Amino acid sequence: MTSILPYGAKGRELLLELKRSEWLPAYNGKRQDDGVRQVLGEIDALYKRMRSRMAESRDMREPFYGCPLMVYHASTLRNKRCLLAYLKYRADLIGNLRWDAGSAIPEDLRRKLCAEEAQYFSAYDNILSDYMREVDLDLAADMEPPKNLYVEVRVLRDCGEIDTVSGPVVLAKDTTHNLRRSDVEHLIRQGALEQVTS
Amino acid sequence: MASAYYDLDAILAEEERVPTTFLSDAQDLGILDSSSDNDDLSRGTKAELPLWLATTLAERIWVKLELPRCYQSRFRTYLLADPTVVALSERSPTYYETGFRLASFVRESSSLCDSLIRTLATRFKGVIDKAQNSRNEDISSLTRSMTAIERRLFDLAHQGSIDILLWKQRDSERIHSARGMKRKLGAANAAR
Repeated sequence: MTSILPYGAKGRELLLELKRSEWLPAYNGKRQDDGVRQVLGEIDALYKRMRSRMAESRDMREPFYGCPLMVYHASTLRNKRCLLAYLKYRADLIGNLRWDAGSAIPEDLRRKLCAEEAQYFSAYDNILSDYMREVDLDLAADMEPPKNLYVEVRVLRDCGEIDTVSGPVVLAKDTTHNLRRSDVEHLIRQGALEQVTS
Repeated sequence: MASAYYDLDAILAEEERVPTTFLSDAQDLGILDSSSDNDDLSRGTKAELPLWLATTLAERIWVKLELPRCYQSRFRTYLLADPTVVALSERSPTYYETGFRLASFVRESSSLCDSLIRTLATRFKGVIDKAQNSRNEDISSLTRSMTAIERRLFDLAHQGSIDILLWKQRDSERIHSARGMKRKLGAANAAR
């Protein structure tokens, strides 16, 4: 009966994990089992097998010799595609996070990024901040046109004291405030405050 | 097609297993045939390969593709009798994408394409209808039988009808927290 070739399985698992996750799963796969490195290892092993078979210099147009080489080659390309798609998907979402949550990565999301991804975020943030300083406009503010300058907010977790146009305000948990939209919008996006609609 | 290279659904659509027959002996591939201990595979062995591998080998006519059961004419006749009642997602979450990829490698290609299109067209009406009339309902029972692409259409139409409602209620200017943040906070509160 038939059994299944082992190639490409780990890459598939990484992608499935992305799809199942609400935002991003922790880098490298569930339980940090080094999924990315496993795929790279598989590519390496496939390459070595190909090299050693090629060294025998047989006629590769013969299906008997060509067929396994094609399998190794296709599996290598497949693994590469899975890894690139994995990284790109993550990079795209990390870029979007800058627009959604401002220049700081919330702590529970930061844990899911690897060092390079956190670096990517801050580099992206720097470029964007520099640009916004140059044109003197906060592009991430008022993503939807506001109808009112003030919003009523309920505090979901303690934020300490913040500076507003009308002086400092202490945001203690479970209190409500009527504040200028521009002062608190980033806190709402980070999930620290909730907008109350009457 | 360049952007499809990175598309998760496009990649996963090629994971579907396809029955193939090897048209020649093949070195090293004996692991595909668990009934023999040989390192090499002998001609005529049947093996299930993922679509991405099966098509590569079929292009060189080293293997012959067969249609998985849910694409064979028998199943298609049954499907076309009433496409809306079949839980296609159980057959394959990427039923259409996989089907069209397979079509270029088999003889009955035009009848396969034809029935795929007719199936999607018939089911599409139901998808949109459900999406626009299911606000405030548990949608999981509605979407269970949908394939990934139908699900995407459903989500778009469903979100569209919600957005219209919010706009009518003048609720659209509300600021929402970023994706991935809300539920964790809710969970943290519940734990307290």
